[in-house]
Amino acid sequence: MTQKFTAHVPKAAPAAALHRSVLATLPNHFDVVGSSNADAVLIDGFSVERHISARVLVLDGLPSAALSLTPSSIVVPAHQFAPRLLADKNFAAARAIPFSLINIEVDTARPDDDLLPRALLEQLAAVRLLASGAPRLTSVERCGRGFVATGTVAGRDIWVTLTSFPSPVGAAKLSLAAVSPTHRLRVDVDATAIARPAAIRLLGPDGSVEGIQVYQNSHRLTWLKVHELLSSPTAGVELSVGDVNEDLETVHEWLP
Amino acid sequence: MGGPIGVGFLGCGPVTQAIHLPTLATMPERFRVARVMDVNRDVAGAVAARCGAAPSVAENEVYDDPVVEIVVVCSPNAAHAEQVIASCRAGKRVVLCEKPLAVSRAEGDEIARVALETNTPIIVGTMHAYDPAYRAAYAAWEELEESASFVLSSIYLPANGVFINQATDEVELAAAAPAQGAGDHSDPAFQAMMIRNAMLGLAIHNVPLIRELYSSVGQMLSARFLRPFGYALAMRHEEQVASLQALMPGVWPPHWNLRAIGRKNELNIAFPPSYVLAGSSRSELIAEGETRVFEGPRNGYEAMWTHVGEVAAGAAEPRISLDVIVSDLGFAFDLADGAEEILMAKP
Repeated sequence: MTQKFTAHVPKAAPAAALHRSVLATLPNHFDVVGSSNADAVLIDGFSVERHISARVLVLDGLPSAALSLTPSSIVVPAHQFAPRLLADKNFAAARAIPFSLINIEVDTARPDDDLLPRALLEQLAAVRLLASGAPRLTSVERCGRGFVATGTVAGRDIWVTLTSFPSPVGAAKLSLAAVSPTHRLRVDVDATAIARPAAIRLLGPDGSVEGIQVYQNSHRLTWLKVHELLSSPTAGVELSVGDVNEDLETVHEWLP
Repeated sequence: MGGPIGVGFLGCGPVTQAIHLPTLATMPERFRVARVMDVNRDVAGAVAARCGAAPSVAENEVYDDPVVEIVVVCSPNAAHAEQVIASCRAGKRVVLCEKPLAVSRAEGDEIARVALETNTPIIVGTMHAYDPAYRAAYAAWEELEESASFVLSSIYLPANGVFINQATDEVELAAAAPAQGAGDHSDPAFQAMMIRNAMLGLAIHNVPLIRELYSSVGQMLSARFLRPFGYALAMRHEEQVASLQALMPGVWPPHWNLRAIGRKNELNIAFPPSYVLAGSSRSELIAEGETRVFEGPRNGYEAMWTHVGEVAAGAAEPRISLDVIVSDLGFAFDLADGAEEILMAKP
């Protein structure tokens, strides 16, 4: 029998409606409660201290400064794309490959400058997860309504190019290409539909490998991860608070 | 209308054997391969025997052959300018030169001067610029009066041999081609040289298309040579950003894409690999939330040769003007120069 936990989604949180709709599909896992005294709490980046008692904090936002938490606190960033990458077996297999180039494009849903830092944060997380190292940007150039960023990965011979522009058709999506002479990873995550599967193909000498697609959006996968963290003492996070803070610092440095 | 137009080749390497001869073999009513020249007598003889042409080891025999009305320059890059100019002076109807047109800006300028003086149409073998599906998608993009905010050219390819071997039986040579990328990869000067080679050998394929969307290199933001042979360049010009990436050879399927994001519309072009007559690109125009797909059976090579025939017959002007051809070449040099500046400036 699935153990149930309590989750709190503040009404004022920017993505509250989406998280509530996702939690509505996990009735065996969570009871959504009105009190902030819950096992897991959605935070938007500005209300961390108020919810420090929660065992897991789900961060859906862009804090203006590094998160200051006790070492025992668990923060799970509610990224729009990263959980879908992690849920895919091809992406998991690709994490062992020494790529030469990682190129990520994020199309934002609106021509809104406020979406660009979040797009960069998403890209940094994707690089970190794929390359198992910290992204080190060497330039970020704002241009028109978007940006182009380049850099490397700490300790790795990987060149990284990150761009973000508003989608002409209002479709938030991520496209990732990672290339080495032996393997090529192609990722397309379209976030417009709640459960449109990510297309993730790992191409190598034996051809393409494609498993059964994952028909869940990132937030559902995030909340399932939260449940795993609450129910299993051995469960770990892919992105530590230190990782999140480092990426936040990078975003604030380059896209203040 | 007369019979097929006589074609002469300068250089009988893989491009001649795997691209042009198979393409011309689909158009016997329009073209006849009259003479093929290669410095290797055996290669010239073998290729000539395949297509019923006369073999030569001397360039002059191509220029002097009155049956040859179209000269195709498929020799090593360093010989292109001299041979294009000689073909113009020989009074040929059209010169089709494989890319790059030349290996220096001065050579490009000299070709333009002689081509104007002799009134010789020059066509550069940038086959993607003739791809019917791309042309249709781009025409629709232009109708929307769209301009690109972001252009991405990404080229990830297996070894050329994968496709050459599927396009034709290549004449077997005893000597192997020199390996790409041998040298000190940590040396910025070597990296800059490799990127220059890549601009003139690989990026050049898409330069005419990129320039339709992004006209000037502008400020080079970053440049990186990728081993074994590739590059990642980022640049901005006014309110536009372009990113050019390539890596080869790999052991995965090919990827040859061009993407443009405009204010309201988006272009996504996926080209087939070089050498094979695999139909057109798959070109998508996403406009007002709807996707229009352009795709057809005719390859850019076939469309390019059809155009060469029309120009040779006097029925059309070159679709890409001489000015644009020369400025496309200049764009490739600007890319290489911009990359070199960044690489050499690194501590």
